[in-house]
Amino acid sequence: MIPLSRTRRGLYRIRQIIGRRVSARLRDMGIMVGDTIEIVSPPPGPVIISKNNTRIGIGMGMSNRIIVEPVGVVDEKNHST
Amino acid sequence: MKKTTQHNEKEITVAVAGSPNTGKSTIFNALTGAHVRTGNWPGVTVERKEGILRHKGYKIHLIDLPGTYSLSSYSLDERIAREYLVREKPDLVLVIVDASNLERGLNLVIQLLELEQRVVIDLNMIDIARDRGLEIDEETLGNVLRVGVASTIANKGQGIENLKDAIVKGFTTKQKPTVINYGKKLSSITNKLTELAKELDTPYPPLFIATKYLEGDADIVDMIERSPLCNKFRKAVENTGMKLDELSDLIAESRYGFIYGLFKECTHLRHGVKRRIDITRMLDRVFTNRYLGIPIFLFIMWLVFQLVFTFGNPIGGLLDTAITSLSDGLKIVFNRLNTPHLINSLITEGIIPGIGSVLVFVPNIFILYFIFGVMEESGYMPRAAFVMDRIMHALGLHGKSFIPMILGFGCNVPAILATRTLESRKDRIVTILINPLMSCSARLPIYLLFTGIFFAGREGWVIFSLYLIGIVLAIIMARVFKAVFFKEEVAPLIIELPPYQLPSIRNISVSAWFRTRLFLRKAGTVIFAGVVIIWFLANMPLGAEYASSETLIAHIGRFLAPVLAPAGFGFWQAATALLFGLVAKEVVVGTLGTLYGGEENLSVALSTHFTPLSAFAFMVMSLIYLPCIATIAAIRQEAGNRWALLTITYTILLGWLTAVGIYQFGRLF
Repeated sequence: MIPLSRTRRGLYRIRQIIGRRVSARLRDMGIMVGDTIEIVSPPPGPVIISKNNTRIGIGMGMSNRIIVEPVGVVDEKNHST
Repeated sequence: MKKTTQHNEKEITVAVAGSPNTGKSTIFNALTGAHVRTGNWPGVTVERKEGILRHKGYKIHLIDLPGTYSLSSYSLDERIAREYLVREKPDLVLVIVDASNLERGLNLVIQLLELEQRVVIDLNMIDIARDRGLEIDEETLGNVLRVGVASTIANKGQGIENLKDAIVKGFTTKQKPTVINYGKKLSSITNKLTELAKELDTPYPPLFIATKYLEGDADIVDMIERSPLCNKFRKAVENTGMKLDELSDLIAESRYGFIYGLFKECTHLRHGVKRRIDITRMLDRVFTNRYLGIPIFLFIMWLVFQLVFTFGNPIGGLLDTAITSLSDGLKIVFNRLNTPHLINSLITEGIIPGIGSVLVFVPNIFILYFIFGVMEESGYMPRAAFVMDRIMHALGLHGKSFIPMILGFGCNVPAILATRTLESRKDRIVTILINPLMSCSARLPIYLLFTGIFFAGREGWVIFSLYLIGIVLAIIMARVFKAVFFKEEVAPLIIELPPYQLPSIRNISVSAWFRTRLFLRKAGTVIFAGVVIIWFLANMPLGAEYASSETLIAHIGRFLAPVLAPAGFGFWQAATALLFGLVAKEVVVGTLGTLYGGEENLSVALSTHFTPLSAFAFMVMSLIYLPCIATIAAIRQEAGNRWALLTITYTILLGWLTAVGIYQFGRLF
């Protein structure tokens, strides 16, 4: 398990989001623990993640607070995950 | 809410809700056609759109709510939407959902149902969902939630008629919508809190209060804390043996559990996904690229700057010339007619230039709003914030603070209006407060005058150092304000990057003009009043020559001069010129000219009064001491009286301290 700030391009599953307001905000935007996301634009710097039809930019202070684990090669149509 | 007109038309009110980037405004426009009225939400300057749809004997008033992901009190937009729904109680809420991101949309729908709203769901962009292999069974979705469902492809104009039918049907079918069951663990606490909440005198439904309290919603928690039921709520939570955090997680889990179950029930995935050419992905490779992103953004900002100031200023200048010739012309006419001098002066030196000083901003502001409209609609704006986050984060500011800071170098007024893109009120206020320290173009004439006299040959470096002092102070003050007023850290940047699209020029022009008018109305009065007051002070007592040494303003200048002595320019002319600078900073130069008997004598007069050191201190003072009236008005409009007052106070103190510091330190050498 690694923070989002140490990922590369590819698919990851979210294991933990640290901070209540932040996790609530991400949840409202459709991102929560257990989701498989695609890292579209990897660190260093702010990160772009993508899920379903949606891309979300995650700022510098945030990417340490999202803990993910890599998942094997899955194709892009991971809808209900 | 129901009224019957003479044509037996039934009137109903429908609020249009939905997350940002779901095509909400496209649908709103498609439903209402040309019958749109814009205004702003009470007390805030968020745009409010209303339109009328006539369908099957109904006159439907559509209210466009701000785009929100949920109904918590995270942002101003969410608060506005929530307040409207509970206070105005529309007959129906139409929720626009991005069909390809159904779970997220359902989260909003469920919160609306908990707010006891009657809901019709529109699954927009259904084509994109299908291309991605997602089929949604509208009937099942509607049956489970007991709400109306329709689907549209708004950007191709498909499904709009069906949607109109669904709205009318949603109003006529009376059925009680589903309320989700929070499961065994939670139902005892939610039931208990719901019972308690019934005793409260509030427009919010009890169940909504119960769930939002457990979720830690700031406004609802605050409301409970201030009510007599505060202890009972706390007790109820204690009795569960769980912490609020755990309960809040449980609420979210069961809500999403429900959503996930519903999602499975009403959708199925097809294989063989149709591949679209993903333009957004390609453009993002360039615009948000690690190396190219910032240079591209800076280039775009340079372009914005050029457009706002190089196009705006000449038009503003033309307006200025027109206004000056108008007042000059009137002056002659009044003289011919033997109009009393005071009335003549009030109109030609007070009122007309007063209106003029508001009007000259209009071109800049309209162009700024227009370009921002283009950047917003095209989808670039969130990318800009994203790209700048790296640098701004290091400075302790939000990614979105950068644009207002840059614009401040042109003019602080549009810059302060540009802080609207910041969602968090705290980040926004800090950005507004420090903006006057960005040296605007109106201060340049002062620098040019003084550096020309005292720093000939080194003007560029001296002026550059002034800009730098402004920036450094802005960064320091941002830290100070955050430490004093907002102890929490910067709201983390979490920003949706919507697909790029071609902006509609018509929409953008309409909204740019709307925002410009709003500025004129609100700030215009303050600017006007300020200019007239200065005029009054410069003309009293009766018979004194305009801005001469007998006038009230000169007396005030004399009174203030000793205060300025430690900064090296303790004479009344300097103090008076600074007072006039309130109207607009470039007026400082003109006033010095008047007070020293014409601009041609200025360089001799100034070199006898000032030394290079005190000239530098004076320039620093002009940079910091007080923003012009227009800027103060903009701050008041955007942040309120309190923050405008704080800006006035802190800039005076900071300006004085810095000028004195520089002068006293410089004298040591």
